Amino acid sequence: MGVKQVQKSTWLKSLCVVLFLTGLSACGSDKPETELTGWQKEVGQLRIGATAGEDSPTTLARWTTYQKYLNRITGLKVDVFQAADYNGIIQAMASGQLELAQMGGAAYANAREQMGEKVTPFLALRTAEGSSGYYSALIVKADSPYRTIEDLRGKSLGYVDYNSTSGYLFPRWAMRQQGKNPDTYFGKTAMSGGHTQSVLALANGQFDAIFLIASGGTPETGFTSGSLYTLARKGAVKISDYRIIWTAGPMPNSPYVIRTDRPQAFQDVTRGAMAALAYEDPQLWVDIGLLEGSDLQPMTPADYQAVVEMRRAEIAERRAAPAQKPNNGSAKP
Amino acid sequence: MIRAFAITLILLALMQPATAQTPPAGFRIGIAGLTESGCTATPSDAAAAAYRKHLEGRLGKPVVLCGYEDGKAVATALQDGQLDLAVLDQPSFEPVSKIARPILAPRADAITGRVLAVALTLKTSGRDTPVKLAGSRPIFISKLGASHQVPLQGLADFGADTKSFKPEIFVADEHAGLAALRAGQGDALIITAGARQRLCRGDDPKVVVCGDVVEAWRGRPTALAGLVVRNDLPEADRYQVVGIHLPLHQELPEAMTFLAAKLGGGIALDPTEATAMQKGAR
Repeated sequence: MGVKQVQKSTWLKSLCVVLFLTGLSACGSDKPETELTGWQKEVGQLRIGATAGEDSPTTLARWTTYQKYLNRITGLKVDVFQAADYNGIIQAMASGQLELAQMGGAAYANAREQMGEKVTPFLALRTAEGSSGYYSALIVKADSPYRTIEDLRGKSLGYVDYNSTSGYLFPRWAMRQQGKNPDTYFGKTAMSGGHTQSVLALANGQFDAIFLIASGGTPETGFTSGSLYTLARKGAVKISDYRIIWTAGPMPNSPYVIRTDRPQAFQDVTRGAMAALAYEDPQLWVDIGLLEGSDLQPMTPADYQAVVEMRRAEIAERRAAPAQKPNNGSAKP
Repeated sequence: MIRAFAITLILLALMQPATAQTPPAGFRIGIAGLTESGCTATPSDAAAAAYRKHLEGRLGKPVVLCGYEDGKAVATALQDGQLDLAVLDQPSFEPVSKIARPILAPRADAITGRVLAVALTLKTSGRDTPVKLAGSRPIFISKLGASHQVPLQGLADFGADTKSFKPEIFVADEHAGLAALRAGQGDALIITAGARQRLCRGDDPKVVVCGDVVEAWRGRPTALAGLVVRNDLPEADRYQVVGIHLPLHQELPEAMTFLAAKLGGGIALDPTEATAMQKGAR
């Protein structure tokens, strides 16, 4: 598989075209063999935005599969674009360059504020046990002296991205609920650019702690999914080298969002096809990095309204104290 | 001339019954116990009317609801090509299982669907099929439906004699369950597929966590009712119907209530595999 990534400053340039297996040319599935009619003609093609955000090691495999699958069902040429950061996907979605994307709740909240009702969450993951949320975990190295969040006062912290729910928005909101101002609590903060990058930055000693996605469990049962666990299973890190010392959540799972100004039939076919995969091909479902027995449930804007409100509050806080906002400079590992 | 006229009359007479039997155009949904018999675009039941109108708007073509006396009659109409979608219970579905498939089934509650579950046994036990679990003592990690009743029903559907099971034991989580299995406190650890994955995949690729156990069973319980389409319905059309119905409980709750009454209950609709209404089929 050849993956071509382009990191540029503007949203358009920050999109990278993902080239896939099977000798397909450029970034998409095969063009339709027959002439498009009806809603297919109206849509023309299906452009999917894949963020490298919430659990990046599995993102590409997932979208490669959906690309072929949706091409077969919709008859549309399907292109998958991966952004270097969350904002690339949000801006591409807002400007009509994408029909569909998966993004965290905070990124959706951003898109919703920009696009209004032209974007809607329409699916999100649900575990076999029926839960549909995940957590933000404050993670330190196991050989560090830090045991509680209080130990990190004045220390360095890595956020994921301004548009990350578990890696920025939600833990900051939760800290405020506990009377801790995240803008002054830590000595130094920076954005890593992604969950995987955060883990690697922590491993390399660039931060004392990081906020990271944790799922597949609860603070009581422990977690089994998320970037740290995915990297561990690939042999890149050892779970025993890290320690979770604080959690916030649960927050609603990352939604698949779709532009509502595309034909309703297109939205319905896409929703039905994506949701049916968990039942019709459970092995493929697992192969693309999704939890066994999980499925996709329909979502509405109301499910993310709390996240929208959190983001508004976060922006208001930052505007009130602009000098204290996190440095988003060249901290990418 | 007279001969030609007579032939025309005969042809017209022959055509008349065929015209009368031609099903209405558009999308036809068969439901047993509808107030009206035959197909109608104006059902008297307000929820049924709302459901029909909702579907018509989403499908972009006329929709009629067709009432039948019972599920068997609905299934027969589906088989004869007179319906595009049928609301069927499992016994009514069986005779048409060769030409039709379920696409949606009711979800019991927010945390309980047709959960994919497994029964893990020790390799050395020889209990490697549902039938061989007879007389076992099952280990569960929760009394919630998704982790207890649903997997038990699934096992029974796949041929396990669950009535012969010894009294169940409950442990804190899947890790404690595996420990109990290894300690001989029970014979089969019955957990959701998600719990099995959490248990067995571990955090280190070099460590095999579940090397001494085998899956004696993996499956979902049979759907007792569902929305059924003919196998020859084009794939995109099938998924469109799925995509319209998935959020029905959010977009038009009264329509979901109407369908639930015909499906034997449920708060929402989940997609299904093609074999969901065939007992014991993987």
